[in-house]
Amino acid sequence: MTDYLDHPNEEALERFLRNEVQESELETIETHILACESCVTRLEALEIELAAAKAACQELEAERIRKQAAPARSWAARSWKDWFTLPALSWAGAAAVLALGITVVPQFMPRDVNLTASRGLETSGMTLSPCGTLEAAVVPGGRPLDLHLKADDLPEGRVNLEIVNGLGKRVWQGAGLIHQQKADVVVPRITTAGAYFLRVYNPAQPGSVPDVLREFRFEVR
Amino acid sequence: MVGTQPKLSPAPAGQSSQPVQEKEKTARSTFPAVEWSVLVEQIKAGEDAGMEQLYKLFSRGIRYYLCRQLGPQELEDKVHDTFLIVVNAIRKGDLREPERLMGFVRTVVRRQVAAYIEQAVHNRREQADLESGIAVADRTQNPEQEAIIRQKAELMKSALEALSQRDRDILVRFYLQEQSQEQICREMSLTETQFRLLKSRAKAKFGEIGRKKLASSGIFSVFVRAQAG
Repeated sequence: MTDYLDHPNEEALERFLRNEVQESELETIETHILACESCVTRLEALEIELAAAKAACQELEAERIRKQAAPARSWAARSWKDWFTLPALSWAGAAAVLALGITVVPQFMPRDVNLTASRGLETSGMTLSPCGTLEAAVVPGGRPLDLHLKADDLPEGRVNLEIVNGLGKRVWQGAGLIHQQKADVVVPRITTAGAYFLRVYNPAQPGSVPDVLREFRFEVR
Repeated sequence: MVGTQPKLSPAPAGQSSQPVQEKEKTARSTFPAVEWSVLVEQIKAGEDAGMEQLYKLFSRGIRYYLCRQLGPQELEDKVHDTFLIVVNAIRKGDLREPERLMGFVRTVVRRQVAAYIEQAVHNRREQADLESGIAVADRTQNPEQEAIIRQKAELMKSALEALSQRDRDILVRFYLQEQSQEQICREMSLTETQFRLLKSRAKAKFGEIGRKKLASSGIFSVFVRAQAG
């Protein structure tokens, strides 16, 4: 009987609201609150506290879940252009650009090749590579070539040029200029591997057959 | 054993020297000192004073209890019915020991709740085809309470954000997942004291932030009025 007159403490009221009280405690608390206005007021305030705490925790949990999901979503939604915007430029993006530069751009840059004539000089019949070996100059396929021709003893002026393959079929034709016993020629890419010959002709006169002034041999690989 | 705090009302002999075990929030009003035998005699005699005192004593608690158990629908009628049953039972002499009036009222109220639930189940079974959901209680808070809860939740969120992840996890388990204190302590390797301490610190933090924000926003008075109402 006297237990009913005691005001339950905060924890007991909280247990009551959460339906966590044992039967004996339930009897005491229920009997008390039926006749105690002040404890009803406390219970009502506590109900609000619990509901607010639950709502706050719910919001925090929702935010935490949103934050966890956010990185995956942003990666998925990111456009390739985002990699090139300044704030988002990442190491990965920079590395990709660098790799692109290393692998792709050289394909469009002419490759410098020094050639020595294999025909038309005293060294006729001998093929010299730019490195000075006795083999033909080897050039990479699939990219333009910037050929530097040694044109010793040739008169300065315009000359005609052609490249033929190993079967004698012409694959390119153009013009060049001899200056200070040198000529520089930019040749479009050759995609098929094999032996090629660059021939230098004197400018053709109407009705005459042009002479081969020099022939340079090189190999495309 | 029931967690209690010292009585604020005149206590029965031998109880007044009970030491303060826990520093708890104290109830502001006192438990009314009642002469149970006088009250019961007045009711038996049909005196208005007795009826008035009975109503004054139990109306708030009965209303709260019934509302909690059955929802706010037809609450006044249910409270009234309960009083009629209690009064009639006392007049018939069903209450032999007047000092057990509190327990007697509880028994009546619990029987009332059981009867209403039984009736609701019966109605639902019988009238399901006609009007489904007829006996579903409205458990939503009123707009004023909802506003208070929203406001308090904002403050609590700020306080929770300032806690460590572990402390926050503990409170989330308790308030959101509604795990029991025992389960949380077991799974998070906490003692009951540590748990209580964390909860009371968090509550203190809620209060502190609440006071600061409310003071700065100038709505303190409104909040107090809302809570008091």
